Amino acid sequence: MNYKGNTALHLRLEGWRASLVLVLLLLAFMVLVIRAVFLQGLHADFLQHKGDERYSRVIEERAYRGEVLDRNKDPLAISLPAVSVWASREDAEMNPVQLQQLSTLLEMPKEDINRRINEGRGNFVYLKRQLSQEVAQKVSDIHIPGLFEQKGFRRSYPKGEMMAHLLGFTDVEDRGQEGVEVTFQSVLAGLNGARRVIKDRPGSVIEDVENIREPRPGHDVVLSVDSRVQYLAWRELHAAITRNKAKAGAVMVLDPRTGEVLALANYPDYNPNAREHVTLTQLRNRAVADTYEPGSTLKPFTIAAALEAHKVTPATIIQTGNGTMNIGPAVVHDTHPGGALTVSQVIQRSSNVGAARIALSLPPEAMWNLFTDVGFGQTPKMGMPGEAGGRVRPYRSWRPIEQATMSYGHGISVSLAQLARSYTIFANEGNVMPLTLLKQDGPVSGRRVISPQTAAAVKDMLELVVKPEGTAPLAQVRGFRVAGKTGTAHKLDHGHYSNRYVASFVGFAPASNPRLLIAVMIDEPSTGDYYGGLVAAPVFSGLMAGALQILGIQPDDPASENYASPPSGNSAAEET
Amino acid sequence: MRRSDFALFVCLIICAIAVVHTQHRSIRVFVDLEREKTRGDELAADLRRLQAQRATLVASNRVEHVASEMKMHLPDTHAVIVMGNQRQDLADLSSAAQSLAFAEAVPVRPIESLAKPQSLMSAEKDPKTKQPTHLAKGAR
Repeated sequence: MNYKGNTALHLRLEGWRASLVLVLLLLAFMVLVIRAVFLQGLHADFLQHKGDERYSRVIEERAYRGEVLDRNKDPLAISLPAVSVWASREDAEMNPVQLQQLSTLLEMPKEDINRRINEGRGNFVYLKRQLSQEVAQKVSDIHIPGLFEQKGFRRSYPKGEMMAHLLGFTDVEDRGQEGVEVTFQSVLAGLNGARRVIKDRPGSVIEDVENIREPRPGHDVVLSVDSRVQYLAWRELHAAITRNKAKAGAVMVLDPRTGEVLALANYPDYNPNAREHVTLTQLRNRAVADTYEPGSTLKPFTIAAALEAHKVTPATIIQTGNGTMNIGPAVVHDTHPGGALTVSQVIQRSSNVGAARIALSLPPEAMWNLFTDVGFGQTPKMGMPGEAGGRVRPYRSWRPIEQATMSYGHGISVSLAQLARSYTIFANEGNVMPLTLLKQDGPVSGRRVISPQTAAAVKDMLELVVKPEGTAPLAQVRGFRVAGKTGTAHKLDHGHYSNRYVASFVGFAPASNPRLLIAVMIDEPSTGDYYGGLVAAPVFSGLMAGALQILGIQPDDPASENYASPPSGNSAAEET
Repeated sequence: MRRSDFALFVCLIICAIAVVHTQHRSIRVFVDLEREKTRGDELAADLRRLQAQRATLVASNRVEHVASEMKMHLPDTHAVIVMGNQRQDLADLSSAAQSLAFAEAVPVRPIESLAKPQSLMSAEKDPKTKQPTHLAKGAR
């Protein structure tokens, strides 16, 4: 067929019509392009966000807080997974049976639950925090609408009361509040991670989109503390408090070679795992936060200052006369008149008159220098919160009577931690050691305060204190040579000395090569005995014997047929 | 349609199905991985719980409490004999034996098996003789 011959097909269209279609098509494309630019370019973020909201989620990856371990890697504080239960006020609905079940599981009265849900602002309210996973699972099994779970952690302290003051505790947000937990907060704290994922309709993660932040668990902290020694310290302190019906007490055990704290116990204490009814008195870390007048435990420093200044030798005779000494209008007393005593006997019998006479032969500056060098008047910087620095007044303002009373530990205040640290000079060849709560792997260098000869001489005198003629035969430890000093001080009550006492004992063993240094303080013993040699020395002895055995330390005096019979009140007596 | 076009079309369909299948598989494997990670976390939490439980059970105060319930107690002071530096004595003895010519023929027991931690050793006393019943002569 020949189409060309057909005239009907010879249609001639107007040229503008084709152009019009072309323009319209181009316009349509332009609109599309503009819309595309609008959506993909200008509005992209908004749309992306809306899209992400429908399927992408940022999930938090929680990081564990580091553990606190003792020097033998025994866990002392450990974080366990826990669950907090929260309610949406708008959606929470429960029938009386469910409310009863919830009240039983959360150990909360029904009224409390109702009040939390029905009163207050906002939609979100915690019902209970830090529940164990088992309880949380039971709560979830009740199927209450509007009740949700939030994962978190709960800190557990396996050793309970006996480590309470040392470790402290964390709050519900996992931040340290007391003790080691707050000191090492930055090391222990973990950093939560976050990642963006895509979830399907049932809520399972089906794809990782991006890792926003890697979770970083906290670092573990290995303490210098030995939990076995700590237990002995806690047990002996408790026994002494009960025996003497005392108000409070504290014990500290150090390794005098390194300054490591091996144990630190206080009474009253508390259970860090159940702190609902804990009082401020129980929370108080007396060993580091409280200062007191140390009494005769300071005499060895007076003697050391005199030996360093070559004013006396251990054999120098000091006249104590009838046991009284007048300085201006004031009188210094001794409990039992000693007559002529050697310097060693001044320590052994804890003569105030002897110490005062020796102190007055020294320039005040010499005593002040030694007190300051061993750390009195300054915080020991061991890293516990609330460390007290005590008080040593500047020597320029000392009057003779003040210099005399300071020689036997009155008119000066120290904490037990300071006192324990200061005694490292006698146990460690004249070096005062920095206190630390962290386990030390290498040797630690101290600062030399007195000569090794002076330290050895004072150590010999301190050994006499535990002999039958001394003030503390009850501090003896079978098989070991022990050196130490008792202290008994009146407590200040509204600026006046009262008939309430602080009994203390500081000592170390084995005296031939000191490995353990123990300081004990018993506040207000009330059964009649109040001398350091009767109240605090037995704590030292019991604790030292046990600790030496646990640590496998070689006896340096196996032949000693010690226990001397308990001293009569007279031999343990010292001026207070 | 040419035969090669048809073959390419079939290939395209197969590839498309494979992509869908792989995607599905990858999601399933990923879900499995997530489940295992969760399980790992749960096991780690269990480990911590057990560690805490163990630390509680071996705490000295509990051990002492259980021991007292079993009527166990520390030896009385008079039943304790301090042995002194026995380890050093044994060490000297051992080194002396090893230095002898016949040391190889006579095996020397390691010191650790001879010397117990000897800070304080307890010994029951015979009530009649008032003497330790199982202490070697010359131990003191």
